[in-house]
Amino acid sequence: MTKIVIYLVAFLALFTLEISFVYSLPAPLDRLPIMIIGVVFLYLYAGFPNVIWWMVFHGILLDTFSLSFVPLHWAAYMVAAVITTLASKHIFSNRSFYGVAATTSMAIGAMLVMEILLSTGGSLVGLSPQFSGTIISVRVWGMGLSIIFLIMLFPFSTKIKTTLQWLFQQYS
Amino acid sequence: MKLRGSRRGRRRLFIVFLLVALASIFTFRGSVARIIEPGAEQFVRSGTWIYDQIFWFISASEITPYELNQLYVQRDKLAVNATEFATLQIEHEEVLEILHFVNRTNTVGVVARVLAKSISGITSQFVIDVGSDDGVKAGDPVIVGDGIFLGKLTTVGRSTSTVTTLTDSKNATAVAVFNGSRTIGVATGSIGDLLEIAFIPADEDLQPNMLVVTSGLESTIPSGLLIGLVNTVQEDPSSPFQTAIIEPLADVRRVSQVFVIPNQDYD
Repeated sequence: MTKIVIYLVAFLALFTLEISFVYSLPAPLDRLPIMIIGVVFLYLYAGFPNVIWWMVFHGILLDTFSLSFVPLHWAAYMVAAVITTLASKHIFSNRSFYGVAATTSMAIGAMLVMEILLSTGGSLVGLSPQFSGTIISVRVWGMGLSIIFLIMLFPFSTKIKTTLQWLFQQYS
Repeated sequence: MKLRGSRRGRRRLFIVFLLVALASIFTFRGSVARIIEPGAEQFVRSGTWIYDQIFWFISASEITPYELNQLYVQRDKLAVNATEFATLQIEHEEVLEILHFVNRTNTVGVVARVLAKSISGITSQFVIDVGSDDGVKAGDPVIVGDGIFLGKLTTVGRSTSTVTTLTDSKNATAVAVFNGSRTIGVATGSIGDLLEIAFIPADEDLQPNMLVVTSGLESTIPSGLLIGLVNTVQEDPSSPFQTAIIEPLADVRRVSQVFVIPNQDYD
């Protein structure tokens, strides 16, 4: 039970960090996909398999707060979660910086494809406004920024990993 | 077999859990917002602080909400000024035309502003800001531009009067057609914005585009004020008369200033 609460609090903290802090930063820093970076890092590098659900719940929460049509974010983050799982199991299983960076980029790329498909479909049936190139710009910036962020994060990665593992062992 | 059954059960349980979670999130969206509110507020403040303090060079090219508001106020003022300027320009042109008429004909009169209009298929009247205090009385002619007859005063108050225009169905004006024999008749309001002169003897020569002016047979209205042009001539072989449809030159809808010629008996 304590484990679930820790997961929930950590998820809400990361969610709030993205939608409140990152989104308040000037462009293009507001395009940093902190949730995806966090999930891929924890899932692939730190060994927390359950955090993959954070992506799905992140998408759901974004849909509840967002003005875009449901289920754009949910579906996009769901695909990102699936791609992250598949890539980490079958392609980048060596827990290196390159593996984390490539998985993050693949997840963002999959999200972009899903968003383009859903936006185009949504605009065809009149659910959403016409597809805009802003989606591509946001996700391309997201890819670049996430790699820069991971470069800055990786010198501390072992410390972060051991701290988190200790934290979970203490409270679960 | 047992393992497969338990897996299926878990899956079902998970789907139910997911649906319940979804329903809860959408139903209690406000609650989710309330949970993250304390942290979110601090995060937003921090993000905004970073934006303002560290990335000041970005905001230098943008504007604050206050400045945006000031620009909106400025825009509204400019729009009002532009409208006033356009209105004054139109009024100025109208006054110049009236002045030209006054100088040309040596007529004394009163310039009036139009206060309200009532124009429909049946009635065509408007209210002006001059009345008996300005020396006008019922029946006085009202012109626009360089001597184009528009109508007559029908109700006169102390400071305002009602003008019934040529095209009003109740209006009747003594007119003359500029043809060889200078045919006279009575123009009345017809359908829409047109006038008609009925009971013109069939042997009178009437052609489209002939000028129609006031005939001077009404004691208060001078002769020669422009009314309009003959648009169509309707002839009936079984009748000894023909009817002329007149298109007035003045458009009441576009008038904002008029000229009233008061207290003159042209008999």
